[in-house]
Amino acid sequence: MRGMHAAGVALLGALIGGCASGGNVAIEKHMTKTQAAISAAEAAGAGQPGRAALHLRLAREQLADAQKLIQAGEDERAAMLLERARADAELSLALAREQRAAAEARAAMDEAQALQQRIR
Amino acid sequence: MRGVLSVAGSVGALLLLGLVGCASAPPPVELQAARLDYERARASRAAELAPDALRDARQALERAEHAFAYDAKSEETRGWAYIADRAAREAEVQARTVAFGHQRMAAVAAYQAAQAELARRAEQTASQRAAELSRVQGELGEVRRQLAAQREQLASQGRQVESGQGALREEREARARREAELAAAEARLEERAQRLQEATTSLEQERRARAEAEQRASDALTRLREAGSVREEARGTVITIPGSVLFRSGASALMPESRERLAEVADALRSAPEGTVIIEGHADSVGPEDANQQLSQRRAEEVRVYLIERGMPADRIIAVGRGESQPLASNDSAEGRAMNRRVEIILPRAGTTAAPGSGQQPAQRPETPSPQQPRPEVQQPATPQRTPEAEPQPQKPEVAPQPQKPEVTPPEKTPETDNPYE
Repeated sequence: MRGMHAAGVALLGALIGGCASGGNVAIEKHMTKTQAAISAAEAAGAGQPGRAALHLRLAREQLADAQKLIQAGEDERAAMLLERARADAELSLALAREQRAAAEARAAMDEAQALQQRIR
Repeated sequence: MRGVLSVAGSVGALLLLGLVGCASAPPPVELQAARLDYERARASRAAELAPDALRDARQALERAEHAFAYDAKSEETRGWAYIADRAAREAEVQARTVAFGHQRMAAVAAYQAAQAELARRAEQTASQRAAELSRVQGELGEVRRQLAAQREQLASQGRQVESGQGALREEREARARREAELAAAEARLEERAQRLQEATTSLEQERRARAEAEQRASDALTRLREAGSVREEARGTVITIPGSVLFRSGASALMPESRERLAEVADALRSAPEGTVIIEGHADSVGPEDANQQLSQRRAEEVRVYLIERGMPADRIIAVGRGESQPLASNDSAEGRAMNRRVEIILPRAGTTAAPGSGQQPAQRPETPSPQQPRPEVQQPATPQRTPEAEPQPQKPEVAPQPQKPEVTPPEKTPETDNPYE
């Protein structure tokens, strides 16, 4: 998120400062971060059916669109798409984590309840 | 709080900027959604539980508002709004995730508390069990000690019993020996007592028999005395039996009924003290003197034989015929003659046992009643005794019922009357 923030600031500066050349290096950075976020979401189980899966799909689609734009030389648009894809990937990861935390909490509560019933 | 104020200030600046930039253009759908989602996240626990994510969302929204102010419909405006919307929702999701984590931790704590409680209870139960166990073990130990003590006691008792049995056996054997000795001694004593008893019994029987015999003799004497036919004289006890009781007239055989009378006399004689008994035959003065002498001799002999048959020893009896020489009364009357016809049995007193021996010389005897002349008819015991004894015995059966003797014939006609010839 902080990275996104920094990138956003840089992007914002580029936009404000007009079209700066040498965007190749910058787009590669965006690409790397987005792909890392998608991988993290996948590793967290976001591919399972549910809301996390929806945002993971959106992230992948936007990543693919961004790659097309990069090939077309439209790095500026591609950077924005990559940022959007990264936001979806991070939301997908958060949802996947929430799902796991909810399941864990429920299981823990069930166990505790079962144990407490043994006491009574 | 400070963050919230600055956010509010930034939003206000953005809104102002937007209004200034393009006052008339409506915000794109992405920005509207981003604003709503951000507000919702801000109202949630994200500020508390996911403050960083919420700040990122605010910054993204500020950029979107900036872009919107600059160019309402630009791709940049929609892009930043899209990102802000995702960031706001992410902040909300992160807050819920943290809350789930808290729930889970609370559940784990409850679980651990329950576990601790269970452990405590288990511990309590275990300690109770341990206490119980140690108590039971203590009791068991006590029981074992008692058991061991009892076992030891039993063993020592067993040893005592064994030694006691040995001693008992020895004692028993010793007692058996003593008992056998005692039994032998008792048997000897018993035998001695038996012999003593037998001796006593036979002595007693002898004594009683003698006493009975004496009693019988004394009774007989007493009866004779009561009948008046016994009298005491200087020469001894004189038993007088009338001739009519013993013999038929003129006969010398005993009549059957006379035997009863003589049996009493025999009993009396048996009780007489040691000494010789003299049997004297007497006659009256009727008839020739020598015939009377012979008859009286035969009759005395007859009585002697009978008494010998009754058990008198022969050498203790002497028979003497006195004829008519010693009358008791006058021969003038019939009563006097009847008194003179008799047999006298003289029992010697103690000290007068020499009488029979000296009876041969009546003259020498001071107790001779009459001073009449000494009679030669007193026969010597040796000669006449033997012959009459031998002769009358075979004669007796025939003589008794029918006297065939010559001198007896005349008196047969008048047996009851006083025979003149006698």
